[in-house]
Amino acid sequence: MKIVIFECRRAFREKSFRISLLLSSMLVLTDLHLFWSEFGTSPNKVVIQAWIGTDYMYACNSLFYVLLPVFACLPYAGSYFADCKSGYDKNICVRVSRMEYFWGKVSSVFLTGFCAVAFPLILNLFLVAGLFPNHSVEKLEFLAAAIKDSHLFSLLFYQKPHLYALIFILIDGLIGGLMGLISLSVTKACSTLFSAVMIPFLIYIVTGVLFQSSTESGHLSLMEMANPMQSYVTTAQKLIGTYLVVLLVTMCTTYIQAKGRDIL
Amino acid sequence: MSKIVIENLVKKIKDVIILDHINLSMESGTIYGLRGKNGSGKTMLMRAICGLILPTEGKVLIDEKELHRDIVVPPSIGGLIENPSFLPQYTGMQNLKLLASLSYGISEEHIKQALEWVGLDPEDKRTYRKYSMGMKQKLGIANAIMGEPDIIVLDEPINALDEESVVVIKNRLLELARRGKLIIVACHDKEELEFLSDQIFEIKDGHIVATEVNVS
Repeated sequence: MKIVIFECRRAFREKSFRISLLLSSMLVLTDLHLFWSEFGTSPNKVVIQAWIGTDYMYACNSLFYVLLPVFACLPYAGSYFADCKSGYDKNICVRVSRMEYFWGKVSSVFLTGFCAVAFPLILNLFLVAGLFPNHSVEKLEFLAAAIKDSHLFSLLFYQKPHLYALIFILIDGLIGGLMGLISLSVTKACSTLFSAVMIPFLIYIVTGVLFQSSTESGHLSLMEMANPMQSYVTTAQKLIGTYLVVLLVTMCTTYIQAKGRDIL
Repeated sequence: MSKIVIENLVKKIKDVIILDHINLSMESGTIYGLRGKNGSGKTMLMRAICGLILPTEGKVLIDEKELHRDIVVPPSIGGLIENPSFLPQYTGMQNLKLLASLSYGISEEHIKQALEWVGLDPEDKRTYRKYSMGMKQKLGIANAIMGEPDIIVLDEPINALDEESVVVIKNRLLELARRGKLIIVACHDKEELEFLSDQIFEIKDGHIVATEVNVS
């Protein structure tokens, strides 16, 4: 437990964590500004239409979900690479076992990835909740784009929009955490800090594009799952299944590397 | 009181033998010197004692408990292996406080004392990135000795230190040995090593080739 607290204390004080939050917050605030400028006086617009997750009016939504792995990995995912390269891991591993260090790193990287993605979405939700009325959206209004009946949790979208947004914030946070873990799993193969942070982004984009190139596999893309406005409709079972498979592979790879690693 | 016993320790990395059937016994209250050319295996032996590497063969026993089997890390050890490395955005005090949170029983007083012992000011507001080479080295030594662990492992501790600081550090180490600590020092300076050590192990190509007992 000490090592988890140690790592989290380090992680949340990192400058890169603040930079990530700043960038993502700027993006969600830009979306809000654009929406407010155009629909601020419109009586028909409601919270769930203005929230960045389901706001299909501007590119900010797409940009946020494309950059999700960068926001998630920037805060702390590269710290394992940095510790190994600088020799800081020696200071830690004379005091705790390498397995404790591994769990400390996994917990802190997952948590920072989760927070870095969830925080701007929550911030945006709070702000739009203060600016727009909290009615359920008219079904016809959203028919042309965004959330359709076949979409994941579409019933909640129309009946309990806040809960719908919170569920997607949770999903996106979990995907953010997973991106951080992917970075840990590829650390050994990386030669620079930049690559350790950017490889999850590449994997996310490349698998997203590959899966989306076929209607058969489009629903397996993490990029699609993160965005409430999915072009390929997925189900909760497929989402959980895909997430668990990626998580398992990532954890096993990282665990095997950490277990037999000499700290040189 | 601590005792380190190394039995037939072999370490291979990518089929290259770094440590070749090392047998040693070390006891507390003594300063042990490791001497050898670059790449002879001194640092690797220190890593093995600190539990940082997994032996290919053989074992390291600390107080009769086998490392990586009975215990995962030595229960009371402090080490400076190769170059000191700390978080650049923190001060020396903050760095040590953070690391001390991983150990049991190291208070703020212990940290201040360790910093003062090596000639650093605990109140210094400069971050580690602004430290000179000598200050970084001193912080590395302070990290190894804070809380006065039973075993202290120092790899080239007097590197980058000025003459005055070398005298201070040597006196501190002698004082710690008198208080019953087991100290292992690797140093390229033959005279300094002979001055400090009660016993010197000469390492060549991963073997212990000579053991000298310092009677002075």
